[in-house]
Amino acid sequence: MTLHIDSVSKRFGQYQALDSVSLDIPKGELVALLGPSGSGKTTLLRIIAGLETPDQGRVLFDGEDATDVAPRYRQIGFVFQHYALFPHLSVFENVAFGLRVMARETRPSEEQVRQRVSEILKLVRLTNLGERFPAQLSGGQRQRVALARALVIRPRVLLLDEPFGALDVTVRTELRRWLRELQQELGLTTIFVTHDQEEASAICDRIAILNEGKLLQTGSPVDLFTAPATSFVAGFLGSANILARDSLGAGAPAGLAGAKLAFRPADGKLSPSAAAPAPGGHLRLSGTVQHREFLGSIVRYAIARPGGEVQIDAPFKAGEAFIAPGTEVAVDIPHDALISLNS
Amino acid sequence: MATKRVGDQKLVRRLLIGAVAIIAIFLIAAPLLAILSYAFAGGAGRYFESLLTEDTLHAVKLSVITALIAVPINTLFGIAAAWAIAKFDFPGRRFLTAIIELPYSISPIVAGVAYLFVFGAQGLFGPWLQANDIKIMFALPGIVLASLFVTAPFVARELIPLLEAQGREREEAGISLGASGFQTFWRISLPGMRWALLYGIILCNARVFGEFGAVSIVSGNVRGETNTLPLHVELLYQDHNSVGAFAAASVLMLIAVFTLIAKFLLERRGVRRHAEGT
Repeated sequence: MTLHIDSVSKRFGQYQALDSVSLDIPKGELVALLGPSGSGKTTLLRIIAGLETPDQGRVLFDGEDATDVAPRYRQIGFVFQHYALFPHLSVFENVAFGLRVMARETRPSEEQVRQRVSEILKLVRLTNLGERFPAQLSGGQRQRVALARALVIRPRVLLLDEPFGALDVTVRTELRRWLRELQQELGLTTIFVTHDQEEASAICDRIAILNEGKLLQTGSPVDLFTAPATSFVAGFLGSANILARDSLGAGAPAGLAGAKLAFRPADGKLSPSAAAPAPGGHLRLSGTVQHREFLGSIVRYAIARPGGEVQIDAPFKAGEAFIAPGTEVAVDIPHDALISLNS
Repeated sequence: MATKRVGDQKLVRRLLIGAVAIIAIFLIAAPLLAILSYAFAGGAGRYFESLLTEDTLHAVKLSVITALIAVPINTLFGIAAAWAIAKFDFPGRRFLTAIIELPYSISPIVAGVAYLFVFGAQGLFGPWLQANDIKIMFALPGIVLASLFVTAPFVARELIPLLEAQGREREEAGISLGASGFQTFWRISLPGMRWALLYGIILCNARVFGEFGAVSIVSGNVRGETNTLPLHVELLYQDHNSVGAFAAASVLMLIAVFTLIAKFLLERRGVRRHAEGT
């Protein structure tokens, strides 16, 4: 199903949770709503599910206005952050719930329920755990029960709220890869909320970045990484050094129009400041090494300069000496590694 | 070896445990044993004979009827009140909670007198009630009303913290899976609160049977008519019929013992549920 979110706004008292957010999600895509806490991403997800009503704007499913459709009629699979499993029901009955509450005319027979639930449990690899209760499962297993329960109603869209937030790192990486495969296999339009940019970049077709209730930028992970529009996006997706254009004087390349320029810490090359002038096609910054961190494959230097501190990641090679704090250095950045930002 | 903790000296421990045990035996266990020994002082025959007198049976019957009316009403009220307070956010929420808990802190006699002022012959609605031939005071409705007042907080009190901790996610999950509001309540919310609810109902029931003060004001103490079991015990005692009084009291004691066992079982269940983190 395609999903259109049309200038949706939502206010909680004094707090503007969403400010005129518009977003189109084509059929079969996996889209991440990415942003810091309080950015409105969960509110947007809940509005799509019908658990909140927008103050303004519309939500359209396949072109049809669904803004006023009650959540129980939306046929949307929602996976809650803390799973919200029904503790008094077995795994099997948790999954069967969506079938058992169907209207009498459409409700499947006991035999059909059994078959359908077994299929889904197989899909999420929980075949032998049907008799267990939620309290007897691990976090990763609970997560998959929650997913199975949402999938059983053949949802038109799958919504996941911080689906991996409560899991430890190994389970999280494994589960997100598996979720991606499952999503592609089912061709299910899926939206998930996360504050983890790595998670979003790893598995999504597209990322929508939100901050303070506003949708800042949408695009593929690669597009957002290589061409962020604002300093917030540049800094949120990977790390970035932001330079005010005015602070660069004549050194700034003419081709980049933005008010600010950014570059990734790995794109700056350090050299002793007394060395030869900047090579052609490079922007040169000069400063003093302030601080050094050894991070394994890279060494991260903090360079103090008049226009503010910049961070440079130099690849670490065994045997090579570190640059000592206090050393005067030059940072050369190739022009094509500079990103022009609007703000 | 267990680590020694602050305040865990042997002497303090023994003194405290000993003091509590002695107080519990003299204050609580001994009087209960006394009830039984007095009740059976004349042998089992006299015990049953005095238990089966018409007035005592009537008092038991009246107490049972009162409980059968008051407990379900306060169960429904408790669920509704707890739901409203725990799941909704509205101005005056704290105030409403305080009102519901008022009967805990007010003397039941005061409640009885207040009802008398409202529904009694000289009361606010008294003339109107008399004119329409509706009898509330010194009759079953008054007894039920007083019992309702005294036991109003019992169910709500047990449910509020539980529902607050559960939040709304389960209900939202139910609704998003296509369940109606009623289905969600019946299949998810109610089972989710069943043990706490049962606990509240049992405490409520025990209190309805035991209530003396409020009921004694509004019932009028008419033997064989408006006497509940505790009132009847007092009446028999004043008649110097100690076997009868203690036999009737033993029925109340039996209810207390059942309550205690049910409470114990439910608490074990509750604690286990809690440990599972659900």
